[in-house]
Amino acid sequence: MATKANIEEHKNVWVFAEQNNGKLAKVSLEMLGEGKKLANKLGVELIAFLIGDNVKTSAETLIAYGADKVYLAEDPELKDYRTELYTDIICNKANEEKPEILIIGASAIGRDLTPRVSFRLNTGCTADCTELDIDEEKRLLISTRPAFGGNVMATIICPDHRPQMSTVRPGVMAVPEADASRKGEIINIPVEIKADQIKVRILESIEKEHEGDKIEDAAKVIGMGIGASDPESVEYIKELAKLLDAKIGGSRPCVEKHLIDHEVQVGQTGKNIRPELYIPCGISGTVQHTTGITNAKYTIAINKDPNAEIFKFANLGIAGDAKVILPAIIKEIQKYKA
Amino acid sequence: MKIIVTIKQVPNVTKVKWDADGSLIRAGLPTIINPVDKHALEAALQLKEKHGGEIIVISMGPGQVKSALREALCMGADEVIQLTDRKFAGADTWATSYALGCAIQKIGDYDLIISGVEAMDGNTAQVGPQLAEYLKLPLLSYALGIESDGKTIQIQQKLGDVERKIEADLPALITVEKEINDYRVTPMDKILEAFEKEIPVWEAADVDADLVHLGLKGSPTKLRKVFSPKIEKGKVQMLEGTPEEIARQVADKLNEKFLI
Amino acid sequence: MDFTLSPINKMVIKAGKDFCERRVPEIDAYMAEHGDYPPDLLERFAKASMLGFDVPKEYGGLETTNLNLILLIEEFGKTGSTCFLPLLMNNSVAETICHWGSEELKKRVVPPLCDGSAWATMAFTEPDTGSDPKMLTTTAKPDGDDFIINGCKRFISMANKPGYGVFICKDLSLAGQPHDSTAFIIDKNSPGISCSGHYELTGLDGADTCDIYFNDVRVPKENILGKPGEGFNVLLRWISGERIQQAAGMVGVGQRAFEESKKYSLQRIVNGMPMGYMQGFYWMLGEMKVKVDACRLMVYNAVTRQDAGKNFDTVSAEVKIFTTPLIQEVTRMGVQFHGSYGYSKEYLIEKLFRIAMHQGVVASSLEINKTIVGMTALMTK
Repeated sequence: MATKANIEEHKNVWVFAEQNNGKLAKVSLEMLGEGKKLANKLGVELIAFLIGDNVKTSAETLIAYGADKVYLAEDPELKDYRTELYTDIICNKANEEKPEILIIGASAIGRDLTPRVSFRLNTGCTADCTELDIDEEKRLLISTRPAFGGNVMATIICPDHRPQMSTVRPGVMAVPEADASRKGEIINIPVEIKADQIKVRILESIEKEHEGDKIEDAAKVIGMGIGASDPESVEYIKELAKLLDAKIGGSRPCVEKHLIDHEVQVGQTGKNIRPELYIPCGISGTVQHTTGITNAKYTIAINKDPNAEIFKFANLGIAGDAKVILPAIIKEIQKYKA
Repeated sequence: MKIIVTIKQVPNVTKVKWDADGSLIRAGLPTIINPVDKHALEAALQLKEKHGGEIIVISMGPGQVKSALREALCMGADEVIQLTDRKFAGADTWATSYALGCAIQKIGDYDLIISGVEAMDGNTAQVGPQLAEYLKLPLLSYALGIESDGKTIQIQQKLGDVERKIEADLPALITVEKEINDYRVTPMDKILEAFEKEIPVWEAADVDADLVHLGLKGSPTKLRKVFSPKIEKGKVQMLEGTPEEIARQVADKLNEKFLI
Repeated sequence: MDFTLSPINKMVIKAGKDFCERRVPEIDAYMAEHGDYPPDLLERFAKASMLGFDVPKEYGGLETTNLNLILLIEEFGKTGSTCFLPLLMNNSVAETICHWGSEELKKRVVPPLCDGSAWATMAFTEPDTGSDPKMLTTTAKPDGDDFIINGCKRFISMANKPGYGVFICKDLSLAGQPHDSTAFIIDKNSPGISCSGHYELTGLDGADTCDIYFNDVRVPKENILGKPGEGFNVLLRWISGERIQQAAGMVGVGQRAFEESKKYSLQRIVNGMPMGYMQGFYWMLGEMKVKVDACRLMVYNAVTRQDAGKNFDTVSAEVKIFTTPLIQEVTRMGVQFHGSYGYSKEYLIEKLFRIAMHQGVVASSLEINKTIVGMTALMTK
């Protein structure tokens, strides 16, 4: 276990880059952007860790997005994500190279891999951070994340153990600009996989089809809340979404009522959205929801309660019944389109 | 099949109240079993119905965690174990996984460990994988379905956009999503039996845990501060008038911003 | 008398609430569409072990108190669902058979009532009598080792469902004697039995109440419940328990009426503030609460006597006399509270009002109960 004595030996910021069939996950690019800021503040290198099969071009992409070095581990057995193999490779290299920070995107894979790595490295990990920063005086990673079900924010540090690990949810950080002219080093890591190392067998792997855009990428989103979950309001929401070419998302209670799919749940345990236009209807604006909408550019909120929290996040607010307001808005927009 | 289910007692964070200064009121918040853990226990109960065996539910927490364990007995667990000790207090996920791991090693001889993906208060989803690492077990996470022949275990895994069928030899550790099942209503006969059962309490010494890795001191991560989230007191413009007048203003604004 | 609920009682309520929240809506949806109970309704209850409360474990029961049963029933009452009727019937008929039945009968009939494979029925009422055994026209004629049943029973719940019913018949082998009614356990699938269509009732939406006809139905004498001539006593004892259980359900109905009104009063804005803050309305809420609380205590008191093995005929009649008008008043106030919305089927309150109206006329009328209490009071030294 890392004790205070060898902390000085740990240097550099690592980012684990996730890929699927050679395509880099967007969240990993977001991590690179964030990692670069951290590395710059510490005056150290940003190193990406890429594991897969035949993914050399992705390694080059990582350099374009800011990595100074890429550790590349390739093998046919590594093509599909496997907890134990990926953990083994990362931990072995980490014990050898001693990074001071390791950040990973909190995708499903990231949330499966990171705790396993952090436990084996006897170090701390802060999950689902919304903000990362450096205490330059103490050379510490400062991670901020929602806690208590999203009702408070907590700032967490890992002072005595290395590497300091954190995960960040997709869509929270921005994707940096790519610069194809950037130079960097790709370092191949020798991979030797023994048959008995493979504890989990992958029998089948199917990529899910999604109809059209994911809500995280949608330019316009209409939010369905419990206050607009009656059949009439739902119809109006669908009509408005069609009219504006918007995607319908919503709060967790509406997912639980089976009105919308979990895939379009917006908020702390759902997705973060960053649309040009967001129209939450009948959503009260609990922190669990609003953590997912702070990046919306323009928000028009509709709620019966003039004191609803959601209005603190809106540009325009309408204190009224969605059943009454929505059809009126639909009519007016139709006039414009005519 | 000997199945161990780990559960957590959490404050019901959906029922949170705030005081006049905008700080969270933690006192008096009702506690519940972390909802997805009930799905984990249900998964264990269904496996037991198919393969026979026993289910042991374990939970780490202060004294009141007893009521969560009693509820687990009511749902149908055969045995429960309470891990309570001041030395466990203040643990982050690493120290929690370590403590649970020690206790599970003490129980020993198990075929399967099932836990929920994450707790509704912390939402870190770390304990399951960390526990698997400590016990050196294959990890099958995000299970939407479980099948077993008694020697190997297969899950339908939801890994983001990819759905996989993965398999491992027992013993293994599975984390479940709430979509995996609709957990049963606590049956009356189990309720009547549950209150006859003992709930043993294990302390740090009982599980041969190294104090260095326990509690606040044993946690690699430390809480620096807690604060209320920045509520951006943006200047919202509240629209007034009849629905038609309001709608007109909205449509005008949307047109102005080239959103129509 | 300490009415503090034990941890087990509380867990029973919690499980009941959970069932009502997660399982009853789909039961109600089925009933709304089909006008009848889902065919596997009893299996759903059995899965949650809700059948056989006051029945010994050896016959498949839970061997627990009637208090636990009525705590559960109050939760069902709060839903406004009709599905509590079969739940009660299977429980109370199983208990009745355990009380009066031979060992053979108990072993044969009680387990299916507890595992959900048989629907229970209790039948006395006929076209011309609801409470007078001398007016019974359904006859049981002795024929060797059997009896032949002929006649008609009216307004019988679960009559058209497979399982066992307790039918109170005029026992022709006892002709001329003062007590000539005998209780028979009859398999409702027996040849010669047929049923009419459902009656459409004011409330209890979806209930399967119908007439059941007996045309030379053969029943072995082993199926006599209790002794020949004891039929009316079997019924009276069953009804005493039924009254308490029915009242518990109505307490739930009243409680829900109160909660719906409270919710409405906080949402409905009058003159810029929630109407609940106006004196006229919070006075109404206060009155509703008092009535419901008092009714609940009456039920608890009666069920405590029942569980203690004491005679509970009179006290259960008192419960009925007390709770019926009060709960009906609470639901009426609830309708009034909601204004014109209270008269619309979009709100739950009108359904609660219609359910409450059954208590005075089903399972012994209000008037019969007044007779029981009044006469007993008069006759007691």
